[in-house]
Amino acid sequence: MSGLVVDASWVRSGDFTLDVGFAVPDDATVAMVGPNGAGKSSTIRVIAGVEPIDSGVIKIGDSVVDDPASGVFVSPRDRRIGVVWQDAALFPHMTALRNVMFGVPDRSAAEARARQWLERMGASSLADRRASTLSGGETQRVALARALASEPSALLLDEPFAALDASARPEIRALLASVLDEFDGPAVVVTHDSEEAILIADSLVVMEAGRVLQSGSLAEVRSRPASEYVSHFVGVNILQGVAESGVITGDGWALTAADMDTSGDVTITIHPSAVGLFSSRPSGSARNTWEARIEWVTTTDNTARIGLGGPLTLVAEVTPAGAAAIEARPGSSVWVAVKASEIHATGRRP
Amino acid sequence: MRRVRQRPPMLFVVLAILGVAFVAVPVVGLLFEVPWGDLGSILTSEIVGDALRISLVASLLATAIATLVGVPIAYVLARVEFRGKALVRALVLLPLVLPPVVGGAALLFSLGRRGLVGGPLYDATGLVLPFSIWGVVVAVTFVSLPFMVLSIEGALHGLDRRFESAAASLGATQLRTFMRVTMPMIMPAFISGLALTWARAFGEFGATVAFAGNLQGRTQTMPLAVFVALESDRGAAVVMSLVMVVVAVIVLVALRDRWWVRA
Repeated sequence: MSGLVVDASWVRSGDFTLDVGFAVPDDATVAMVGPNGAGKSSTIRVIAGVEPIDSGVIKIGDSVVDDPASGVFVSPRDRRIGVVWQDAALFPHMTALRNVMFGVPDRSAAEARARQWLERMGASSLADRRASTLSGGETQRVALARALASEPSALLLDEPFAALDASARPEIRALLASVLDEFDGPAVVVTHDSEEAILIADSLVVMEAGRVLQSGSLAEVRSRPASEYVSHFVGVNILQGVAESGVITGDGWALTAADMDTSGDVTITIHPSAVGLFSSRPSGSARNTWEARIEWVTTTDNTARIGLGGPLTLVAEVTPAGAAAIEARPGSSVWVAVKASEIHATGRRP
Repeated sequence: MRRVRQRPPMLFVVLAILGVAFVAVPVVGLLFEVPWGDLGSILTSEIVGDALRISLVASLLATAIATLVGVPIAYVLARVEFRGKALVRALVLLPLVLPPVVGGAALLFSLGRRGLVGGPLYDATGLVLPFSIWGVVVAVTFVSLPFMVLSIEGALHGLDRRFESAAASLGATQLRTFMRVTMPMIMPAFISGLALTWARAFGEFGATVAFAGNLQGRTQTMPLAVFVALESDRGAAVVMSLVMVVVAVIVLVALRDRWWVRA
């Protein structure tokens, strides 16, 4: 098959063995998630060819790029993989334009192509700025432009949102979502953020301790989470609606989101821990506040998950003590509040 | 912000003052000896002019050669794994600890007209290195090369490898990566390496006198001329020393950001 195939084992820093297998079809985006130290960045490095594998195979498109058994190792420069490294790794001594030009295969057209990509990333005005002077969001735009300008057949992004402050995230997330929609090769995005994974990826690869714990479409993983980490990770509320001037309207509900500049069909996510529950009508902002019926309650040692019914079906996550305070039980009613800043939206993917 | 001055141990203060005086007194003493009235005529004399020209030509050529071979040596030592690496590094750094005059003697035995390499070289080309300006260049390159290697290798170890990985995955060859990414990023270390290498080459004495001799107008560098003048013409010796002190100070000032100004 074409796309990206990883079925490989290798040793990282002496004694930690990774054994990773997954595939990404062309035109698809996989979010690679998992706790720190699970081997996500190391996997990116072996796909990019910065480090070799010890056994197994890595294929990009129709070509094998790493296969120790038959002695194949294609160097990073010949793999045609666009990488957005953790912290971007822009060349600090070059301007943004020079950074993007660096990877353009056709040297005679490098400047024109680089300017096009910067413009596409909304970064034209940064062309003559030295990379070391760019902010987190600006750096990510230039890093994306640089990766794409090298005309890659696959894209790897290692925590593209990690270095961003909260205000820059929605914009970069929307940009990345549209870039990935247009990109016709396989893409892998490493992230810690469940909402971001859900908003930009078609499927998940969950890593733990150097292994793929679980992989599949979001729906598959949600229906059968393989661990508490996965369950927590995919437990995010996902809603479809139509956005107009900051208000998202769905079937019988409407929510106000902060930092909304998209309009039309959108997908929004709300983390369960961002859903506030109260026994009486909360004072303060009346936006995004309503009364709902509790459908179900599941309690573990550390958390209580509460299913809310009504036109807006949501899952809330509180502490067991919090659940006790509002006397949460199926059939009882509760006041719900969601901060506008906790509602994250992106244009709906086709 | 309130600052509380920290009081160092008195013993350290006394020893430090003595140490600084130990360096300062000779320099000041030299300034007192300068025959300011004859400065112009001594500076324009043939001996000083010859020595200065030979020193400048030889030290600049040596710096260029040390860059040409020292940077690749440093790259290989910092980026390539191979057997016997420790031995190669020790060999390259040997001139740093070897008495220079021994280095000069070793050069004479190997590159002299009857030497291991010098003999065949003479038979093939007629080139004689000892007692020529080329001999001076060889001698001062030999002793100054380790400074370039050390400066560049240290900087390469300190450079985050991600930038080179990024360049590689953008399709750059290793040479292009080195010239466009690595070298600009270690530029401060390279500049300080240049200065150290050049300063060592400019002040070289032992290896030069052993290998290239002390012929005025052909192989007599500034340090050799100072040594000779100490016996015959103290005024000239002092003036030439002053020139070298001024050069040293210029190098220090040029590198102040790297060596002696700490934020």
